[in-house]
Amino acid sequence: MSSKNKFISRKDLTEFLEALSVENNIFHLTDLLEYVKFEKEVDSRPAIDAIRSTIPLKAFFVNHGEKLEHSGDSREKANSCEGAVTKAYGHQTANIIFGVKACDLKAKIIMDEIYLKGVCSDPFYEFNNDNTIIFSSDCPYPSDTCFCNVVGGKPYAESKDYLFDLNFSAMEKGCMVDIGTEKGDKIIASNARFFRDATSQETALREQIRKNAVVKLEDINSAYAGLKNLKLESVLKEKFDSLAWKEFSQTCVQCGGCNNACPSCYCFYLDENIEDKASDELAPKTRLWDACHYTSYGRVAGGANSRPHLYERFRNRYECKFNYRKENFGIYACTGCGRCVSVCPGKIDIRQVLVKLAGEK
Amino acid sequence: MNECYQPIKGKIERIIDETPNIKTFVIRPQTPIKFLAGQFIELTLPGVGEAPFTPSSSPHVEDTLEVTIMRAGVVTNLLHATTVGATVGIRGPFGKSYPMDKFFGKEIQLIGGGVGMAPLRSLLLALMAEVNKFKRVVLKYGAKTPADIVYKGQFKEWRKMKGLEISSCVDSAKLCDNWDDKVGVVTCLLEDSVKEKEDKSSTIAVVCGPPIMMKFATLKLLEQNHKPENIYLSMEKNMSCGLGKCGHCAVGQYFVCKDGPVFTYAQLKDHPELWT
Ligand SMILES: Cc1cc2nc3c(=O)[nH]c(=O)nc-3n(C[C@H](O)[C@H](O)[C@H](O)COP(=O)(O)OP(=O)(O)OC[C@H]3O[C@@H](n4cnc5c(N)ncnc54)[C@H](O)[C@@H]3O)c2cc1C
Ligand code: SF4
Ligand code: SF4
Ligand code: FES
Repeated sequence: MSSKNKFISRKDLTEFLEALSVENNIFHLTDLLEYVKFEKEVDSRPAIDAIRSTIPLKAFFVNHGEKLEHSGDSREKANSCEGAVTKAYGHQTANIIFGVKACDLKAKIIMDEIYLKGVCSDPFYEFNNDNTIIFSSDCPYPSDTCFCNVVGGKPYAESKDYLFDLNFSAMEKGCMVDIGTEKGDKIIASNARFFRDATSQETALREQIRKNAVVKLEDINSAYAGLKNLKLESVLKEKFDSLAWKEFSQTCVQCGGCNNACPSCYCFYLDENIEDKASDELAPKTRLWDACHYTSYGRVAGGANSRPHLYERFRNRYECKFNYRKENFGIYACTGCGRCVSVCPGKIDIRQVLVKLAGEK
Repeated sequence: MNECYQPIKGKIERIIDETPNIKTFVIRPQTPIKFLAGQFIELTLPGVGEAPFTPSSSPHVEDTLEVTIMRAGVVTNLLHATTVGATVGIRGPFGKSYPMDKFFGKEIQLIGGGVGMAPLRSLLLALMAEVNKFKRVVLKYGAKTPADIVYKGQFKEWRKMKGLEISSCVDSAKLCDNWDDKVGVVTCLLEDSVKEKEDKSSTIAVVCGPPIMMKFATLKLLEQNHKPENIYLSMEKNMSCGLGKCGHCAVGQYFVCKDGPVFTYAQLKDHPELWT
């Protein structure tokens, strides 16, 4: 595998994507923070230096409303799920997702732990994973809601930390490209005409852009800098019984938006297909995303509930992210993407909750 | 592709009325299902829903499987309304069983409440198949009233079994019930063990029942110097996938469906959401 950094010019990048789009579906980030399908001759403008997409990366792997049909042409079945960001991706070789951010790559470590490991791998997730190519990209312009630096992350991905096939660092005249996997290496090799080795000036310039982004993040999060030196798992353990949880959750309307927007929230439930009632055949289950803020989430027999109160469900998300999953997998499940901050109708900011909680006596 | 989310078909072969709100369903799966006592299955009523149950039959029987089900809501109500011949779906078995190898040579106390007797019957049948390997097997069972006792016919047979001691109690009994065992909440079953003043440090206690019963039984056992690592609890949490993926059953770092449903009290004792 080539360890050298590559460079691709702006013009060549478009041609490179055109070449790849013959055999693959490319979904690229736009400045509206959406993933849009790249179409030749359509004026689609990748904005890979924007911040994370509104919809988390997990939507490409775990589809809300997906029929879990094991038999038949599994390939096509797994692709033809309504409600997925991707819709049907037909008979193409792979989905290439262009503009994945470091925060989502970190969250994917949690998703992989849950879905690929354990008792068995989830065959639908595994299928999507095997057929997805990840082109990540740096964040030179973090926004007010970004706080990856507070929870141990960086606004760019390096192959020693995260799994990407290729990483793109956008610069004025083009992109510097890092190779993360054999797959990525092969893509470069078979499209060698678009790439050259990066010069030392380009490498230095990229370092400068990355440093500036980190400085900007430090600035945005100066009020929360204290969190960096804390073992948040201990804070969450010690303050489990804090009365402040009631206060923190006062404006929560239990919409589940934070759970759905979170790149590492993996929870779902298996729904039964009602139209199959009274049939002798057993229909496949349907997978629906679920959220621990919902009352139904913890229901057990006869209307009992393991978390009957709103503040308990609200607390559970924090415990899950910083305490429980840390204990399981050694990393926080919160990666600082800030989507829950943007999405919350109750104007609840996870950073403020953590700072207040840590300050509780 | 592993077919972990697709139930296999089963036919309901027999339905036994146990109590006014509990029935046992004898199910013949299309292909035999091998399980160990304490593991659970997800049972689908087509077009209605899926719910977790622990087989109550002997793990040594593979071609049929029995589940004892209390009416508690949507799925269980409609299961009670089914008739012999109905199709159901089965996924599993899931989770960890009772660790029989750790029970050999010891005194085993099974403490059950209500429909919590279901997994204990499976365990009891497994224990009785090798009864010589245990120092003593004691079954302590509690129900609301004499009418709420499950497996009534079998209790009579079990009382005759060599190597098994049984005591039972009901919360309340009417004169006409002809009840001649104890009356009181389930912890009264544990009172006589105190009088015995025996060393309980190696006794295995297996508890299954409603959360409130498990809580008070556990506290009583601890009071009697049972060791936390020798108290086995069957946890009931909301479940969907059974595979450690959907998140519902999580208690702290544990996923009850894959790390349990059988846990020792030592594993769970520090978790603040244990009894909720
Ligand atoms: C490991 C395990 C073993 C069990 N073994 C037995 C047994 O042997 N016999 C028995 O009678 N009962 C057993 N239960 C309890 C049984 O699963 C519930 O009574 C049943 O799920 C209730 O379903 P319902 O639709 O009738 O109830 P409702 O209250 O109408 O359920 C509504 C919804 O809540 C959810 N829900 C409610 N209770 C539970 C629950 N306990 N677990 C998961 N989801 C739930 C379901 O998803 C359902 O969609 C067991 C539970 C667990 C976790
Ligand atoms: S338990 Fe809640 S916070 Fe944790 S992954 Fe599930 S939905 Fe997200
Ligand atoms: S997004 Fe805000 S209001 Fe909605 S469930 Fe999350 S914390 Fe509550
Ligand atoms: S039931 Fe889905 S994780 Fe346990």
